[in-house]
Amino acid sequence: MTEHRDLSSHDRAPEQETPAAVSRRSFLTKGAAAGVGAAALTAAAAPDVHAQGAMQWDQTADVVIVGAGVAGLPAAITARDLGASVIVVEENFDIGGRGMLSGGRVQLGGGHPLQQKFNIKDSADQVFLDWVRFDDGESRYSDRDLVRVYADENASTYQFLIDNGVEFIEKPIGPVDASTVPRIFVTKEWHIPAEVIAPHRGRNGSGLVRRLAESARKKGAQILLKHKMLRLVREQPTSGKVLGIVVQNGDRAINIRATKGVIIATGGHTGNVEFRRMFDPRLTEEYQQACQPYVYQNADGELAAMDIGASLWATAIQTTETGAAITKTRHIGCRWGYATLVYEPDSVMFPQAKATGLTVKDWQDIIMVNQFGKRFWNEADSSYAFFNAAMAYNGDKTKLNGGGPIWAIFDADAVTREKWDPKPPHVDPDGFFFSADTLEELAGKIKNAHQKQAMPGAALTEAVSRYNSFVADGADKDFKKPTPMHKIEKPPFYAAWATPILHDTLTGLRTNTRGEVIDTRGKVIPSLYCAGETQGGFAQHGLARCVVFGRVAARHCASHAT
Amino acid sequence: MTEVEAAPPPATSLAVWDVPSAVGAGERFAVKVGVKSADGCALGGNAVAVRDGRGAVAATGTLGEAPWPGTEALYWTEIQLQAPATPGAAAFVARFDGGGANPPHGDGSAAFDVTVVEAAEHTLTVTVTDKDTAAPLADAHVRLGAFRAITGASGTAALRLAKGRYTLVVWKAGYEMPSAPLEIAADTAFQVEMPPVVEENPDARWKM
Repeated sequence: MTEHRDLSSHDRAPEQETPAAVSRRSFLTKGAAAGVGAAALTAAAAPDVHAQGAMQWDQTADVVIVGAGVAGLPAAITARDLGASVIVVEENFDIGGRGMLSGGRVQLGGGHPLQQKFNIKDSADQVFLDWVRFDDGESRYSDRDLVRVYADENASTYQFLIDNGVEFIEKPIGPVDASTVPRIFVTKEWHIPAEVIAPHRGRNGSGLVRRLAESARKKGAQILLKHKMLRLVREQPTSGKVLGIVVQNGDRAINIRATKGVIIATGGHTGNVEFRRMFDPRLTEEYQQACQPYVYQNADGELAAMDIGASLWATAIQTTETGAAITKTRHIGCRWGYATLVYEPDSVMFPQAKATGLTVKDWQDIIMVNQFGKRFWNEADSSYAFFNAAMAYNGDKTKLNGGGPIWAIFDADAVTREKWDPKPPHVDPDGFFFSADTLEELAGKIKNAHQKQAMPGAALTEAVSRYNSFVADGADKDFKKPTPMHKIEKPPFYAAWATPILHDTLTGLRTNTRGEVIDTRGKVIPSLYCAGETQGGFAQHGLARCVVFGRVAARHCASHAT
Repeated sequence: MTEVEAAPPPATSLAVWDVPSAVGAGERFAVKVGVKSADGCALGGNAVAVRDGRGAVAATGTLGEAPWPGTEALYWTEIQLQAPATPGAAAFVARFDGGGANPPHGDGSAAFDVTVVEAAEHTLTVTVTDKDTAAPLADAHVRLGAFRAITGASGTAALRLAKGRYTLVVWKAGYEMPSAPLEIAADTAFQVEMPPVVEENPDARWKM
């Protein structure tokens, strides 16, 4: 019989501290010190992943889910629907993960009712055939066993979202990506702006994750916010079943037992510099990550699972140069200027984000230079050719990997054309935006932790002067920017952070079709599951694969015999 | 015994702007030249010179007492110059003699080019409209090589240019950038329809 001790009071507000757990924890610590036994004392004083026999559990649930995002929330609901008790731990102060900041485009097909309403012919087989296409970089490298499961679960996952209160705008979009028929429907934005995190900016994914969290709580899942997983507990270092997790809440460590299994839904690795460089050594620390500072994709799940033997899967997908792993900074002059994400001053994240950025409407209005003041590519290009040039070796002898910061350079006329107001709160003068009366002076003013040496004023002046000559000639002899239109000459002059920003995690932990994590020898790690961006094997951008595999993993985990 | 070195005078840097895109051979034109002291000193009243490609002083001016609007301390003046008699790129250098300035500063300079063209003979009138609404478009940039103009409220711009073959390019934010080959042998009128760029979906895919 599974122990449900800590879930006896489902009606309490799930995000509150759990006083019962606190008192029990302190009791256990004291109890251990008082002489429960040498083994228990060792485990409590110096927690050891492998001393499971002596592990003192503070809380217990059938299914323990790490991450309350687009994979974790559907997993929680699915497990509760099957009667399992559920604890979700979330390191952030609120739920949602990157789903909260998503545009809310859910790419589910298979012929679901909303597709039928628009006479869109689709089937599970068509979803499968599309997402294993050889002629699309986003489908070519995927694990077809996973894609088959994904395809078969598409229509039922749409119904699952409807059943749990998610509302869609009834307008089909597409086909996009590898799809051959329209499959994208956009969720409605959450109706309370203060709970949208980045309101007024089409962050419709808020409607998806808020509805799912609402449903999960109603159904009795316990969501513990500000609880960060430290590690997984397995019977033996690299063998036996997974027993639970150790989490940190404030300065407390809490041991949570999972009688059926743990589902890792931590959202990927893009924000972890060491981890992402396994796939692309160029991605050094100057590259920021989309959705920070709300979400840090810090590879917690991957690392915890790899510590107990888990394998990665389909790593080629991370570097196919077709999807949104690396993106152009469209909001310049701030640290996190991802293409479509803006934190307005009334966002709860604004104090950390510090600026909205200046939205570039036309790349004709700026040139881009590297840390040495040199142009490196056609600024109007947004392809991987641009990113590759931005990350090229540029002569920095102290740092050979990565391309260093990229700066957008423009003048007073560009400000007029773009109707910018180049002052806070639009720009962040603390390292990400500079202005000066002359170009030479501007170069000397650029100071940022990633700008390892002063930009030579003569180089910047030369780059601008050469570009201005291209404007006069109507042709960019260096990088073929189509008909350079505007000289950069009227003071004052500006330099705005425009370094490419990283987005999708496209590879991760190896799982089988049940979502069970596989070790480096190809064996199942019993009672460990994974879903979402931390799961490897399926190159699809966006929300759909996360919801689908969250359900798949939870279904198998909750049905697992204890 | 060590001698205490005097601190070097503050450096200067220059900006040159409102340089015309094209000037007829032998015609007069004006540019603006500004000088900035690294210490933000008031440099009004000091002289600035423009030298031509051979290094000869082409013109001089005196910096005004008020900084250029929007700048911290860029003291500036307008300088009249004459284009060379032969078409082509003409190089100039604006120079500030800091040693002779009050207070003393480091020297500064900034190079700029002017495109010298054959004297204009014909007028081209370009009318720019929105392709979808047929409304006239103001503030569209019209370019034919070095010749350029910006449309007014009626969507029309008039350019004086020399005989020859050109590529007409029109630019306006929010529109595609149409271009067309154009031969100018007489006064000509030309109509350009600008296709609006479809509003970007806030979470559209990043297909290149």
